[in-house]
Amino acid sequence: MAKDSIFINCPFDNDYFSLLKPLLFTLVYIEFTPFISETSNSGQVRLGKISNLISDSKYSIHDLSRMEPLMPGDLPRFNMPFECGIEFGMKFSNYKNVANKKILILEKEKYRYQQVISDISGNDIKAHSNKPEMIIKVVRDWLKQSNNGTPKYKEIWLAFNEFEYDYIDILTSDGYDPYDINSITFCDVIEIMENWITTYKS
Amino acid sequence: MTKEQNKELNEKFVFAARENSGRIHIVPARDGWSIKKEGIKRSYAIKSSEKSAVSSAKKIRPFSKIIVHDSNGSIYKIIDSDNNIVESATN
Repeated sequence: MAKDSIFINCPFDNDYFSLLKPLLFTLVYIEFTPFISETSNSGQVRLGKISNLISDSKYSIHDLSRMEPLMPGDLPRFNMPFECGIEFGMKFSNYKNVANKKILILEKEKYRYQQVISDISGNDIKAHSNKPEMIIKVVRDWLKQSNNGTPKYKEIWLAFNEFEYDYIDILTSDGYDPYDINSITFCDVIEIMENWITTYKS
Repeated sequence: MTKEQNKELNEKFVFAARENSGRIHIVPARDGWSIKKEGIKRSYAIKSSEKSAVSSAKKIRPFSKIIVHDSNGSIYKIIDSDNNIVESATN
């Protein structure tokens, strides 16, 4: 299968890391190249970077499950719905190749989006219930629609668990905190996953 | 992370993925508790409870460790070949 790129719009915090890791792992396992704004090395301003990542990728996944404030009293987080809106703006203005892009929107609970962002109704919206197994399943099932030969979700979930053991074991023994999203860069995490999965599959 | 550290880290992951260590993973899934031998893509067996999965996993020879995962994929507990629980979740 050729390596297609996929843009990920999601929060970058330790709370979400337990979902981001299986999400990235699934994409790498199915042989996609994940693009997240943190993996871009260019010196562009953030919005320019994001629009480039969106237009350069074949698919996009927007996770809107963390729109609410991190702590009571905090303000809601607008970055994820805002970036999702940028993509729809590009799509409907026929910007470059964005018009035909496939977009998956992830949510925590089914239909919760209808209370806060009902304009996105009618798109591919799936709930992951904040569970790593479910995020693997919904993302895998969505990609399966346009990619024959996609491995079953259970295979990916089992492999992820094995990888997770190695991830915790190796990072801990090397002095990194495996539960801290800032311990190593996303480029490093993705590279580690690619190497591990290539060897695991061989 | 320096280039050297990155290279070293990646080599450890490649080695870990290749290693046939006799580790057995117990993984909760929608259809029950899967018993997974390291490096094998499919479940060895699926059991309805963690207890019966651990019990079945102990019959697999050889095994060095049984690693029980929680629903996040993290490690819940580790049982060694002498039946001792050597580590439980701290995260």
